[in-house]
Amino acid sequence: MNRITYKALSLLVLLSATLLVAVPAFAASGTSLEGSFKTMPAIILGSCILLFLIVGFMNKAEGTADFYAAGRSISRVGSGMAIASNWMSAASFLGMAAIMYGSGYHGLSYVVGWTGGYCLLLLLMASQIRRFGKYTATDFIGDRYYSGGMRLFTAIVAIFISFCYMVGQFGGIGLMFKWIFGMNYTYSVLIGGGVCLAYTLVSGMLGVTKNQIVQYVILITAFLIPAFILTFKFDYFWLIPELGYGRVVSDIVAGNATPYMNSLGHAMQTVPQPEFAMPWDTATGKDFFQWMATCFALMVGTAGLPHVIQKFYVVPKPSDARWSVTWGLFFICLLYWTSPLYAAFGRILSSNPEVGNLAKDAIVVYTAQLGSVNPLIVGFLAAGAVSAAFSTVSGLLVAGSSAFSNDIYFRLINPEATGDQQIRMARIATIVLSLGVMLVALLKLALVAQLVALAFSIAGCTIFPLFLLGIWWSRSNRSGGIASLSVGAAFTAIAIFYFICGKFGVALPGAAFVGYWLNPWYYAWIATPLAILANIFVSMSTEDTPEEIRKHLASEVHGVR
Amino acid sequence: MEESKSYDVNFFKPSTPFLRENIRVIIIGLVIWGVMTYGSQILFKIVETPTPEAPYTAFQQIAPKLADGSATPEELVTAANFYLAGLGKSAALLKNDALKGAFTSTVYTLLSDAEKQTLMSVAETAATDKTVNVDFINTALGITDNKAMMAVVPYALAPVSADKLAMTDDSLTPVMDKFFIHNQSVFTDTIVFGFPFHYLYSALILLTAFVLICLVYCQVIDKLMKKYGMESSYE
Repeated sequence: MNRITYKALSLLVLLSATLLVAVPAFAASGTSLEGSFKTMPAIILGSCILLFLIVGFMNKAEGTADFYAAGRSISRVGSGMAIASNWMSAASFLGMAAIMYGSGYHGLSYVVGWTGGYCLLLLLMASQIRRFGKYTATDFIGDRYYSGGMRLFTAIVAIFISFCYMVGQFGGIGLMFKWIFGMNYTYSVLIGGGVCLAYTLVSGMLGVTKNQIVQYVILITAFLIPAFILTFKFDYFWLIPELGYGRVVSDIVAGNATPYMNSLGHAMQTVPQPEFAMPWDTATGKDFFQWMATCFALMVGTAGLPHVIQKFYVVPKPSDARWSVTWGLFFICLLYWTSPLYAAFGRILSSNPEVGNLAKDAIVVYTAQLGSVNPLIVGFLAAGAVSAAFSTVSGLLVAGSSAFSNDIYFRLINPEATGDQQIRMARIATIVLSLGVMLVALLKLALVAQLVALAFSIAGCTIFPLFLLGIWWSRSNRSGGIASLSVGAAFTAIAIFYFICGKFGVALPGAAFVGYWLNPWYYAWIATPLAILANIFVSMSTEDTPEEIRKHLASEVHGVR
Repeated sequence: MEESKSYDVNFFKPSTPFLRENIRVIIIGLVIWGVMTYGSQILFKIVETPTPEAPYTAFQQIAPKLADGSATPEELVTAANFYLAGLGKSAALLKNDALKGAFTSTVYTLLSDAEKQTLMSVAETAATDKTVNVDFINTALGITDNKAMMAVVPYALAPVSADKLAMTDDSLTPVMDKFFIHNQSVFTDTIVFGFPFHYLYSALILLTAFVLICLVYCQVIDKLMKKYGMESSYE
């Protein structure tokens, strides 16, 4: 990290310290979880967004070359943080705890899937992708499968993945804006989404990597502080909250009495609920197969997400690609180790029926409130959730709109387009994309983490097989690639079609079968292997890959001389 | 054609010493990764047995007696507590009228005649006002030191007319099976650092293992690259 980043971070520390000292009057009211406009959280959120903009302006990139060079002056630890912040969104920050709160052990398949995928990515692909030497996922697929059609189709898939991913994020942003500003969900999504869009348009060309480091520091601090406070306050082992909450899990399973109260004055005790922790419990409605399938789908999805893969192109050396993945995974785990803590505390603190049904996706914030954590810190937590969503959304919007302006508009519609025209198209695409996302987010189709899981299944069964075989099997050719992409896309279409029909009450034949085996959250468990097989069979029965490409693959990527 | 052969890349047929070693490292890493992630869950699945919670086992002894009205007061207390524990488990069960009816009927049967009348009016009131005084029920059920159970009582009552008391209901069996039978094994019953072991394993140990796999892989591959002079063009 350089001097400027340090300055920005000390600015933040100073700011938070001032807030903590200056506002003793803002004490816990402890009567309502929702309430109205919350001044301090709103100020904290505003300061965070302002800070991102300041850091961005201080590290303004002058052009594309500078944009990439900026990444090269950053250490492995720094780019690990950038990977982590690029990766961790509202789904990690809010969604995982929500799934564990509602479905117990099943939620751990998300925790395991979203971390274990990095092993797959590192072992099979990271340095090979860097050595192949392209700039985006669509470039790689277009070149490796020597097909403009494949490039176009991948660009469309990439935009669609960004879209699904962002629907979940906007849902999370909406919930947090609702909590901070006391508006209803619809206005929150529209206003939160609008702020996020404005932020992306302003910060489009600003220093992304430095910003992501700052965003990581903010979101991990915001997430960890309440964890220490909760374990300390309720007398669990607080030095390592990630171990300390173990007793909470056991207390929930056994229904043990604790001498504590939640902020509403209810006993912090629940009737015995082994269903919270026991594997694939029938009470959660999720079985063993679903655990395994979800875990697998999220893992292959992690290794196939365009905006994750693209991170490896901007590091200077292949070994940096590897080490930044390792550091990135470590920084990601700091949050993932802690996430189940919120689910456990949330479960026990909200067990009194009088607390009522809480919006699962906001359980992280409610838990901190129910544990009467200082409202300022709860506000910081909510601001952290918004930062997590913002950093991911702005990355996805940039990726989605540049895929449109470069791979679709420039290559297909108007090859004569000037740079200015392309940038204008990218801006328009950003706006159209985010408006579309807002509209879909208003439908509240599913939990944040589930919507994001859909993006992973799509990536896992379309892009992952192309990269895997593209790197490790030179025989895989254009026809094979087309076959594999078609299989993945067909499964995606079926899963989404059935899901949407189900949501709107249209009865389709075999809906129960498809809903279980080809559920949109995890259909990649079968779609990915089938896409790989399709690639292999079609490649074998058509002519070999052109020598030029095999030569590039063998010598540049695998060092065959 | 002869020359083009040498540029073939196949994960399972590595053509150079570097690739052979590289792929061996990858396969070892993937096997450890796969066994730790999926092997462990399969093991949990194999050794588990569906285990009912203790109150459920006790209740099943009593259920026939509830149906024919021969249950002793102690047995009625056990049954009512079981229903109450079920109602406390989830908001969905708190909407189950059959379960609430069974609970209220069992408590009704248990109480003295004077308290029976109070229960009827309290059950009516509780439909709208959860602050209603239910101390006499708590005392009758012997749960006055269990705050979690006491908190559920006002939510568990349903207005029941005296001529339609049903202390059991066949429709409840699948619901209770769903909520009271859990997949348990030596892994779920062993407590480590306060955690049920399987939970600790998936939530913490597995994630730590992923980081370690990546760490070791990076070091091994860096050495391998040096040994074969790969990636030297990037130095």
